[in-house]
Amino acid sequence: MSDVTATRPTMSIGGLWAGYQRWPGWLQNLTNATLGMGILLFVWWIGGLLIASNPDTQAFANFAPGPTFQALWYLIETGSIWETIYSSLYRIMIGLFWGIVIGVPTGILVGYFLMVRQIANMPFQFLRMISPLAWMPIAVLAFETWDAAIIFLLVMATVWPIVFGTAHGVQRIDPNWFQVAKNLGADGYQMLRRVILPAIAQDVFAGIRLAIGVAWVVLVPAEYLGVTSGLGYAINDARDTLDYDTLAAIVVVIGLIGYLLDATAVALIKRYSWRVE
Amino acid sequence: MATPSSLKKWTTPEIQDRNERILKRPKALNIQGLDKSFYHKGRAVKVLEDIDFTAYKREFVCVVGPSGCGKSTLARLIAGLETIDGGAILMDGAETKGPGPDRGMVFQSYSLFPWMTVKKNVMFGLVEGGMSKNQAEIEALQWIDLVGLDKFAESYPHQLSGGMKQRVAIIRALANQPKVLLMDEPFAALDPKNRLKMQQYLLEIWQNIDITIFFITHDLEEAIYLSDRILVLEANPGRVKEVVSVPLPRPRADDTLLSEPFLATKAYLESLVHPVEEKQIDMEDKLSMVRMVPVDSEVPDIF
Repeated sequence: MSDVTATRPTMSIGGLWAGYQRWPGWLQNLTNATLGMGILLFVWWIGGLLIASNPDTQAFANFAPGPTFQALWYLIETGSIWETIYSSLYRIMIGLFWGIVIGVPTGILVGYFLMVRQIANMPFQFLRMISPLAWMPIAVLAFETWDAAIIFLLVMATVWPIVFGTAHGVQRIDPNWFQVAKNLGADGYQMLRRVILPAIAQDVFAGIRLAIGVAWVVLVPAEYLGVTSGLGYAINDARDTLDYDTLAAIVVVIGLIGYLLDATAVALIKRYSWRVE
Repeated sequence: MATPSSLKKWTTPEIQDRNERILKRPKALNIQGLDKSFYHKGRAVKVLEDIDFTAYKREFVCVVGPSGCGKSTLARLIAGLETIDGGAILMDGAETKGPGPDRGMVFQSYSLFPWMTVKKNVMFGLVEGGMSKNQAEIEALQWIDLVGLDKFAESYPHQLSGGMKQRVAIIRALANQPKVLLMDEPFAALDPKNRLKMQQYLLEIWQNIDITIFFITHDLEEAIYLSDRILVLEANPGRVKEVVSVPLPRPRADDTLLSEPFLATKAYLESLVHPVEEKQIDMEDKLSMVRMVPVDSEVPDIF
């Protein structure tokens, strides 16, 4: 008996560990990521069982993974989810667009000019700390359509990370690059296009990544406002109609899209990064 | 600009003749009564005062001086990266205004654009000068070839060694075909072996193209090895102390660095740049302080 185990050392924990360490990095990464998702599903599943077994919460049993994925499949099959996703993504993109259009030039000014930085620092830090959702009453008063109000909230969420990311990037520019570029004949526009923008690109995208994160979080409660489309509305609607499986399915969709948006931002950061530590 | 007596005996008729011929060449860079002050906390600090100097065509000039004598500022003024307070800088007899492609500059920090490949870095100035992308690429590759970096044309700066980076910085400046190449302590960050290699490289390039080099350094040996004439500045405020013609034949011999005229020139420059040495006493004081610290040493004496 002991002879048999001795001839199969690969079955021991130490042997498994050593085998794991010999795997290529991507395989380790993939395995661990799968393990992480597995744990999440497992906890969710246990939670579903607990809810179903308790008479007080039995009504919410459809939050469990099984019904949720059925509902998700139904949403995809009937195609009704796509319009919901489209409305939300549209708002995010417009919000992000204005966040970038306002945030990047502001960030360049703040990063480049000490005086602008000194003037802007206090008000910006002050405004940044206000939850975008706190602007909701003002947004509703100021804008005629609900859509515009939501986009305003998203801009208030996206603009600050982009301003600070950009300013940070500009401040880290090596002043010698300006001198070299000037010496090689670059004028103001060329300096912006060929030196400043490529130099700060990765910091801008890092700011955009944070902005996407905040905006995506803010979007759902913002869509509780008057509108009749989007993921936030769908969640609210499912709650009102006691469609808990659909509600959970939409939560899954929100998480998934958020993850994909973040992955896109990470890819952009990688693409435009040049700093080698 | 009389040759000092300690260097006179090394100035052979051939060297004398060459030095005189240099001074008869057309003027490449002419600095007239240059003044520059910086303002620090509302107080003006005079950095350069009444600098007069002329560099002749295809001459190699080095500028040395104690720290704070404004030698870097002088290069930046010539490059047009700082504004002039008084006086004028003339290139080929015409007064300069701001930066221009006729004055290329190489910085100590290389300052390559890290997001561009070697090739794109060299192309930067060419494209700014209005050259088409294709033409700029052809020219850039020729320059890269010239300094033996053809295998690294598509590499990024962080993949290169210090010496390679500085070669790229030099050809990036040269690709614009400046008349004067300004170099602000370009080799200071290199280790001695690489520095010597780069100096030889630079002399090789200089001999083969039509360029005047204005080279800032704090390394006296470097200045003597490289230059035809050395502009010695004094500090506070920066003024021309002396212009020394180097009494060494060109091309430099391999053992130049150990030759007597080289050492004599170095000693003479040393006396100009660091006139009085009073450090000895300070050092003794500090050492006695150190000795007072009790050390429970396993090895009581190193002698």
